[in-house]
Amino acid sequence: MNFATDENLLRGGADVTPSARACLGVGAAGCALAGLGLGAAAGDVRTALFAAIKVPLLIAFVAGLCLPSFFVVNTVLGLRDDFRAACRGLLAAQATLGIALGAQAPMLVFLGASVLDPYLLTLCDAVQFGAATWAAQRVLARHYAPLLARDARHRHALRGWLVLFAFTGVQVAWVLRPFRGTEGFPVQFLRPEAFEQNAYVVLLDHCLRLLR
Amino acid sequence: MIATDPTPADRSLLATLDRVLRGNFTRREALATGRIDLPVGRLIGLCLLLGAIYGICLGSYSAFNGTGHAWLQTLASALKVPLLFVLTLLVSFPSLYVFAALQRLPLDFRNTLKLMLLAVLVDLTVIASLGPVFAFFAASSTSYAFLLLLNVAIFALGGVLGLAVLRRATRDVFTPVPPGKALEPAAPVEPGATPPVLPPALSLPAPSSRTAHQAADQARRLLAAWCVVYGVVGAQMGWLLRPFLGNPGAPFEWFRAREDNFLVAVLRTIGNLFGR
Repeated sequence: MNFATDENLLRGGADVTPSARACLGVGAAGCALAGLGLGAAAGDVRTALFAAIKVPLLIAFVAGLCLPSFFVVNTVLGLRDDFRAACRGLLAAQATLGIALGAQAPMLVFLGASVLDPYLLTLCDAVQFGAATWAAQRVLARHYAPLLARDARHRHALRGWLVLFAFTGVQVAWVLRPFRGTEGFPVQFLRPEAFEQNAYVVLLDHCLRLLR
Repeated sequence: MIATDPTPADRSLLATLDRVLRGNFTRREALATGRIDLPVGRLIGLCLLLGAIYGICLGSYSAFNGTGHAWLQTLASALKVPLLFVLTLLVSFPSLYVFAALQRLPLDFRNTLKLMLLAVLVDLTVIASLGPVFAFFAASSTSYAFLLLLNVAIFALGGVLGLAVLRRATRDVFTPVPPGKALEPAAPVEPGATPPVLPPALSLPAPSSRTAHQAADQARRLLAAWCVVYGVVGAQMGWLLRPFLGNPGAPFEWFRAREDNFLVAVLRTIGNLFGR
């Protein structure tokens, strides 16, 4: 990882944002490191490699799916002139997400090796991802501050992006599972039922079962 | 911007779409002339294209789920989404125009139609931009009920943004620019040349007697009437033209038999999702 780029992203604002290429590189490396950490605890190098591919893929794919509508919403709201700056902010936030996830890689390995209950482990992973998302939000807020000062409508575009990113991200993550290998199951890139289930419907099923 | 002839680059469909999304045609100064300088044909062409793109994304559900006649369903959806918007406008526009005239909207029949088409175009652009998201969910999910509701949500979101454009435009059109105010020139004005002056708007009441508050109030009333008429017709039209997705458990059909209505169907689908 390029530490000068990391420092600029974590400490600086919009004025010292590294180049798009540097952000992409740092973000992808961090996500891949987190993937390695997730898969490493399974003790199979293939699981670690698959996860190292899938975590950056997850972030990049979701961003790719959500960008067209972000562009349209920005244009419709009359914010097109700031679109480049908004994208820079989003890219910096994604790179920060990668850095934060990469920094948590040792913890991901540790948790994978020490927590036996799969549900608790999933909860721990969710907390780690939540923390990384919070870090990304801090950087995004810094980048968006001058944009919001210029035009309050940026808030609507940003909220729309966050909602759509989270909504789509949950399903993409569901499709790309498993990130950690499951004991008793063969090593696989995607589960056989990857394209047959919907994360929200499964979640709803679980909730309804709890209520019954 | 409105007073100059578009360059060849401005005439391309993408350039037109870009200018529509940026609101170039619905600016206060542009609307105060009482006309929208955009050919109806190009607006309709763009609507058909974007509707077809989203229709293909809708039809992809059949393709991803291995349904028989997947290509037919994709074709049907690609045809029916633009048809839904065109027919809805066709059915509701006369009533919409009557409401507009009653509220003394300073646009004639043709330009009111253009304004509606602009809003529909924004709506369809938002929907088409969410097409990849829908296609991804279609590829990764088999839940018919979920995808139906996702489709309704995407249509609703497009509708809200289209409405926002219409709201801004109607508010601006009711607040006329003071007579004689010079237009913002699209290109730098030659030294010594006179900037173009707004032509008088269509039979407007005296501008001095109208305030921004009154204009907003008038626009709100008009928009509320438009929303009810267009929304009800659109929802029911969508219901008549179904299926857009193609139920994997049923054979392909261009149109289904008439039954119930849109609202009952949405409530039933929500019930199905929760009653699993």
